[in-house]
Amino acid sequence: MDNHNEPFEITYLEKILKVTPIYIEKQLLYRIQFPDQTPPLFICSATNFDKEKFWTSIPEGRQELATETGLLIDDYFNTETKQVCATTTALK
Amino acid sequence: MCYYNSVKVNQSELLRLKSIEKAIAQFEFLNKSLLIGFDYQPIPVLKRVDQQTDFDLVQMEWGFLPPYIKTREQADKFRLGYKKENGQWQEPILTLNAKAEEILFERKMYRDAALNRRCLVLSTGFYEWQHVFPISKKTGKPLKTAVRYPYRIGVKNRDYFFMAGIYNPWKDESTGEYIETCSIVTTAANPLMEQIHNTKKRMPTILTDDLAWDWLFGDLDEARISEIACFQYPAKDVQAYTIAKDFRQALDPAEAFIYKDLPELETNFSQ
Repeated sequence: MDNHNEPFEITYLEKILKVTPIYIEKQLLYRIQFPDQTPPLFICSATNFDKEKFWTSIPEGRQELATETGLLIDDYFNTETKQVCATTTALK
Repeated sequence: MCYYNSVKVNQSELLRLKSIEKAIAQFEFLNKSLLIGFDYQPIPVLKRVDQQTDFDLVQMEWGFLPPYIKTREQADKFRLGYKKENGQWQEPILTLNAKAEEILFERKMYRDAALNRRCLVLSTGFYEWQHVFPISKKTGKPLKTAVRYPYRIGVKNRDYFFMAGIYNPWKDESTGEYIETCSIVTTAANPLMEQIHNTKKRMPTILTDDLAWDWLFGDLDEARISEIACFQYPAKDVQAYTIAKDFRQALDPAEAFIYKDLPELETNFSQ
């Protein structure tokens, strides 16, 4: 998760979604835009009673979409991190 | 015990999420890159606080509703048209724009608002279609069907600008729903806009900061209201560029798109 500020894209159900990281109230959120008439979605990471992380939509009500796109965002950053590590290793 | 999205969270987490939610509501309100008039959706408007030189940034429903419209059902008929009992089609009445030259006409629905409820519609840019009639290879004359090219128009060196508006408070008498509805004032197109909105040759009344102040706070007589309403923002200070024809569905509707066959606009203006 090197750079949270740059917009990026994820593929969800064969559609390209634009993801824009945004800081609101000093909290990192993601604004997700869809290529169709689906309203933009804000998601953020939250913690449940069992101290487990989950993705939630804000405002609430689009939980399934938040979970699925949140996991794609996790994947995106995990892949990025691996690439950075691979580059660093290759340079050694 | 508190819930958020059906997931149990503790109270502090709930407060955090709720505070973000409120902040987002403000953010989203100002972050819409495309507002389509015919969706009759809320738009950001500066409204004077009663009798003060202060204003609130509020949302108003774009599409002026006059007081004689009493319910949402009537509002929908008013805006979309409907089939009358005798089978005739009643055309919709469009109130997204109010023609500057006519807003003070006696018996015009906008008159009272122009005199007493002026506002400023906040914008970062607006969209308009240019109609180009290709020349027929057979006849050498323009074809009857135009090819339409969309443009995004904004003000040079300004991230946002003000358009003259008028508003009307409105209540649905059947549900008690209270909203404010507004219309954007339009004026004759300046030389740049004449080339873009080349069918109707109109443009929104974009105001300078000084005129915006007067429009919102000034104790104006009818002549001055009319004068400001008809103000034509200088063409030299307006910028326009073409965008993709499917901009309404685009992730970034404001993204430039070049049409190779489309002649460039004349932009060499002294004022």
